[in-house]
Amino acid sequence: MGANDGVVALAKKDLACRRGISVDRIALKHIESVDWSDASLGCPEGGKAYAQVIIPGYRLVLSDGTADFEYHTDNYRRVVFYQTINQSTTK
Amino acid sequence: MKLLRISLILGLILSLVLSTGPTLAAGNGDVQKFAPEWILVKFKAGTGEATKREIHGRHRGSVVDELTQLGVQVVRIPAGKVLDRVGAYRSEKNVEFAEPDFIAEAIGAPDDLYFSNQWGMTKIQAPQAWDITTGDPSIKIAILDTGVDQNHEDLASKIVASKNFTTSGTVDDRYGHGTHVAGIAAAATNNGIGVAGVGYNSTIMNGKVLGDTGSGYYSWIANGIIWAVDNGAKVISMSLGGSSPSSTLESAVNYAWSKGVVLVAAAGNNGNTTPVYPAYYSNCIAVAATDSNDTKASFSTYGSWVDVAAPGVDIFSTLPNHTNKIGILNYGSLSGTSMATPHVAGLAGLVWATSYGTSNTSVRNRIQSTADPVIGTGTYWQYGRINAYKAVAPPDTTPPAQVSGLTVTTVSSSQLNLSWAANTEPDLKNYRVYRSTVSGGPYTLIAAPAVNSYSDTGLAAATTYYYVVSAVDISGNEGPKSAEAFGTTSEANKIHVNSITMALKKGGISTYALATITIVDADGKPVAGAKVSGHWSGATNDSDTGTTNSSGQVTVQSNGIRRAPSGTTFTFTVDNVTLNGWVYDSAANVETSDSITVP
Repeated sequence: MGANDGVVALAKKDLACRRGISVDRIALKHIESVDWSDASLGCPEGGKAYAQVIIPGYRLVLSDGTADFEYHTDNYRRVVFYQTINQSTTK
Repeated sequence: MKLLRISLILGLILSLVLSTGPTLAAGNGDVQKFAPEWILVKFKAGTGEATKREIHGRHRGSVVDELTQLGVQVVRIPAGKVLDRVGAYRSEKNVEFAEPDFIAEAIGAPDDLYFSNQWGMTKIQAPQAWDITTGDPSIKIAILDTGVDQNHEDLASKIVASKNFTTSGTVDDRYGHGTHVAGIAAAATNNGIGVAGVGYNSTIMNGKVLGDTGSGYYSWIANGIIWAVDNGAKVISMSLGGSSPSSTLESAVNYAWSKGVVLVAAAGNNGNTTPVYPAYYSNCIAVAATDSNDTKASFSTYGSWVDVAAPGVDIFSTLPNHTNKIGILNYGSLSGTSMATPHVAGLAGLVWATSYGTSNTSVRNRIQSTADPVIGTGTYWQYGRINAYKAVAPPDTTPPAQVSGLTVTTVSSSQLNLSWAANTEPDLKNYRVYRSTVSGGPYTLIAAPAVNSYSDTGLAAATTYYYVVSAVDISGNEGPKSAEAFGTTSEANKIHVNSITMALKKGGISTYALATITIVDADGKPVAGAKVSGHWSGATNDSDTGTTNSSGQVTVQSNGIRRAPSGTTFTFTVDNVTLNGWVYDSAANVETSDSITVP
């Protein structure tokens, strides 16, 4: 088990629900460590304020075979879906 | 036996005043206690005993001891007159120095178990500040955040009010952020456990305006601000921010300010100058983050709208004693302008408890004006990194010592240079240079240089000027003026016309006259750059000007005369010669006018 296995599993589970497919069909394509600038984990919403604390976590790219999906996470168990991205732009 | 008796008396008096002695803001902003009934005086070498007695008599001083190797006398003076007598002795020309007898004390750090992890407290000189004030429980700091752990061992006793403005089911802190912030601002301090809070005895209002994922709507924050104000908060700490401006949020901030509350907010962690709200609003103190080297944290937002900086990297504080989303229990380190903000809020709590705590404006000004101007001040933030000690220190009323060694040196006919012995007091701001054309004054302030020299320019030639200089400290106290010194500008350099050489020139059917004027100094050396002006008469009546070359010469030409008959005369007369720093001495002219006639 890696340090990030927990948040990766949570992200896969979220994407599986969104796409209506089995978790087994989702692959981790990319993962990198990130220090998020605040509690929004890089996904701020207009009209909201966030705790201004540095949050260590990850940027994940998952794939279901048809498209790629970017998730932002902390090191604990918070996972936020960020955006759908084209396969061609994925590393 | 006599010396022993004196020592015993001094020891007794010292023991009585150690805890109650008067205080003085020292040169570096430190506040120091000193003996209330005696001072230390050293006379200049060669001062006779009779003169010393006369001076002591004048200031009602009596010598009770002497440090003979140092030539320093311990002089008893009327109780409570220390600063007055120090000033009086210093004004005596035979006194080398006079000073209070300061008390040396160890600065005690609080006994909180993890205090040694709190580098930020030392950086802002919080322990020294706590020697002056530990705040007051009546000063309430509202922590508007993710809630505060309700039964944390180092916080529970400090929480005086709690309210939840979010959709969370609890006022407690499930995220972890608010508990950390609250500990920095006002954890129970000197209680043998946990951490110290800057605000020491200040108390905490827990306004939960961010939900359990660390975010919150502006309406929740605005409600929290209003609740804090209406329930007696003196300080509102907001370690939060959003990118959208909001009239509602700004109105809430202005409401709090109008009710006399100090508002402190995080500048943000974007690493750029983009505004973050509510910190961007002018009625909030916007706080950037610095590291233990006093440099800007790489993540910190910065810019002209940011007011102060405070420690915000690897800040050790309280965390919930239960599961939270930060993922650390009880105590731990976090980074962010979130952590810088409660340092300022806690300090605001301390300042409210001092004589500076007369209004929110006064408290804010005190925090900002006493900040240390670390690198980045004026660029990343306006006022510097906060200094708790300087913010709560009593006003410095002791003026700098009298300036000595003033000398005046003649440089030219228009410039005198002044220099004097440097004042070594660490809180020196600058000097004031006064000038008069009459010995003894009245003097006019002409300059305020930061260094111990000054060049006085633009002066009249051959004129005597009289000067005095004083030193001024950062509190605005001005020391006694120096002894007067004077200097006289030199005679002005003089130039005159050495020769005018005339010639004729033909151009078609016209005839012109040429006049070549040579300008020299008093020694006959050519002078370049002199502007010569003059006029023609006789055949023409035009005017000409020109500037001398390196040979001191300039040639001017008259208007032309068509078919000038024989006997036509051209005359050129020099009217004036000018050159900066020189005087035209027309009386020394070899010639001022010359003529030429057409043959």
